[in-house]
Amino acid sequence: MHELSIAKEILRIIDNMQAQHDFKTVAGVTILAGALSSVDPHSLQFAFSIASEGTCAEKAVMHLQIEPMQYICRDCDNIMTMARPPQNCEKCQSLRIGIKANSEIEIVSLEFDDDKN
Amino acid sequence: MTKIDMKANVYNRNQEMADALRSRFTNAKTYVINIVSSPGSGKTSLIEQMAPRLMPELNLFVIDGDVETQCDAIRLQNAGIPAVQIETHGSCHLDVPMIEKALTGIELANIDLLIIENIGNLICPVGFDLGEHLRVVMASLTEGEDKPMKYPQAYRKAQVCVFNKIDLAEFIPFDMEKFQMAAKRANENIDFFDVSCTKGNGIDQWCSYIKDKVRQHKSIQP
Repeated sequence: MHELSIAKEILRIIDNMQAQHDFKTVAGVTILAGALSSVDPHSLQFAFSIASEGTCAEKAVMHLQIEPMQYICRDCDNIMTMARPPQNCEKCQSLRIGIKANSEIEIVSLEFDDDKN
Repeated sequence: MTKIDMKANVYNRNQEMADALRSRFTNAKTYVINIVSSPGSGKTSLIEQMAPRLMPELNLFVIDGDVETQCDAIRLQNAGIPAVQIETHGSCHLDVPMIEKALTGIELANIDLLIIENIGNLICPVGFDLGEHLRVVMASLTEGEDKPMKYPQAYRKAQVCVFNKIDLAEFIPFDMEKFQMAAKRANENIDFFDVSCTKGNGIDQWCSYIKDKVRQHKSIQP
């Protein structure tokens, strides 16, 4: 459900960009979401398709990339990319494992048609 | 076709609004806590237990968030606790504009402690800073010890975990060590308070912690 709020904010940022760059339609938007962003790709795509109706981004394709989950060893700072938490550090065997992944959501880039007619 | 690189964080605007609201709270010397949990962990019960211990000394105000009904605010009002309800009618989390609207006509300078009871949900409310000074994640014995593994972000974004229903420990198996280890994996610095909102265990310690926080907050020069 929070995907709708996220989609609306993405559209608000695109709207601001439109004022700066004066484009007519957005062809694509690339989004990068942290592993802990709790973004469900289908929900976000769906929310974006509905919320963008009637805006310059209504035909835009959303390229959504979710970062992989990462863990960090709190003793030797070893970073491990894996879906599930390891029992211990692969390098130093420490049991002090923390979560490294982030929760941010970023609009990486925007593609738009130059035709202003 | 033109491509522009943006690197625009989607949460930036919410963060800016939350920071502005936090400054407003700080200037008014109102200490604000935001309680996040699954439905049924005991958020309203915790506030009911806190109120009689805090209200002789502090002016308390509660904002209660639910998808539907005024039940919780009415429950608190019936217990003599000043409270307003936000009914989101579908939205799964509270956000800054909802809090600002709920506070319309409320003189913040008259409130020492504002408790925001978020909507029972361990996903959506977690990403939305409400301008609070303290984020509390609540859990309870009946939910099982795997909650911090399933919802690590709820623990990462909180400073304190209030663990409720400890009076049921003799009836329900619960691996406390596993629970705390998973919570620490998400957030190494999280503090725990074990309570029973039906029997009252641990509530005094929790309330002294909050009273200290409010006192410290009052002494900060904005």
